[in-house]
Amino acid sequence: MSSPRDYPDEMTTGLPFDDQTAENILRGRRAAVDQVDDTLIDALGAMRRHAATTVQPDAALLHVFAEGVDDPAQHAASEQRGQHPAAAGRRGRIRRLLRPVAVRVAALGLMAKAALAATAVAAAALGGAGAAGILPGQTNGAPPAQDPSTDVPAETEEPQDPTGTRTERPDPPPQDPAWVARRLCLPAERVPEVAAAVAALPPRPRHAATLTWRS
Amino acid sequence: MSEEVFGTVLDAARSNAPWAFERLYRAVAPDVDGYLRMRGATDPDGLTNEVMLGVFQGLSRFSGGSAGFRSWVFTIAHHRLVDERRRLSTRPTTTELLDHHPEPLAGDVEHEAIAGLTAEHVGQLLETLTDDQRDVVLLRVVADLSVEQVADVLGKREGAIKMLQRRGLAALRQALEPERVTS
Repeated sequence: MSSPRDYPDEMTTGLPFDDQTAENILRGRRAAVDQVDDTLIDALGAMRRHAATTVQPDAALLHVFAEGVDDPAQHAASEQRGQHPAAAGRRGRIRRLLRPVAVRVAALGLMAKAALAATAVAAAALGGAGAAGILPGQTNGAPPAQDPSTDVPAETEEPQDPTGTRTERPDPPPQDPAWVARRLCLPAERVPEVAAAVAALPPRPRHAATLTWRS
Repeated sequence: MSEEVFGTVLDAARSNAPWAFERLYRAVAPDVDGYLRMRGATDPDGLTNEVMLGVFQGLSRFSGGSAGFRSWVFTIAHHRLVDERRRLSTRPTTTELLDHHPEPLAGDVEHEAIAGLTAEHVGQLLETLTDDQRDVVLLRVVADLSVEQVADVLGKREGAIKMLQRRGLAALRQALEPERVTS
């Protein structure tokens, strides 16, 4: 274990870390750094966790899509089209997974875009949840992961190019001047002034891209 | 994903196999989204999809293994982020008023308190870094890239990346210092 006294570059660069210590901290190797840097390792861990699990309100929309996708009548029709068993099996897995996953993904907040085609939503839900460790692995009863050896023949029969649609979302609704004034700790008589300022805000269009492919 | 599996998936994606797009998306998109969000992208989910669209449409130009693929994806993500910054810099910026403020740490600097840092506090910590330091720290921590990969993504020398990460960690440590002292 090193200690701040052992960091040779401190004398020349003014930094408390040499390259190896920095690497150990970034990799979370507590045993290799001084105890004083445990806090830093914890903070980096918090950074990693928050990057993966930030909640987005849009994710709630995914649940709506999930309900639509899980419509038995809708799927009964599609399954009578003679799909390849491997492809149909995977779609079945996605359907079974989608309803519970949708709720969990709402908390994950990733890739949940209302404009996504339902099939792409399924892929995104599985992607986001799986990467965040939300989906159960094979060891706790989940269906096995996709296997290229079985999926390739099924999917290459009907290749689809990924396509993107760029859209501009409307401005968010205007804010209530009285509420803004309260947030700014301004007296009630200044609400008209705040209202004028709110009304003068420039447009704030938000650009979004929807990525779609057929599965 | 092993190199053998990655090669199979990449070949299939180049043949426009949907399952392969899904695998690639699952492998990198969450980390891209995390990086963009922590870097303050205005619409990280939308930008992630933009990035992945660029990745899927550019697969024929890519050559290399899974590590190289990851570097390439984050290079695209970083460029998209820079483009967004440039676009936004020409417009006046507005800030949403939140109906809550992050609670300050209550002087408790025990392990658990730091481990339980809120998203707002993490954001405040990142604010103590310069843009370059923030890029390097997030690409190392969130995107899980090596020094060499980060150098590729940012177009800098490895020595510069090492110095930036040391300076960044020193700044973070200093930012955490008051909390440690007040315990």
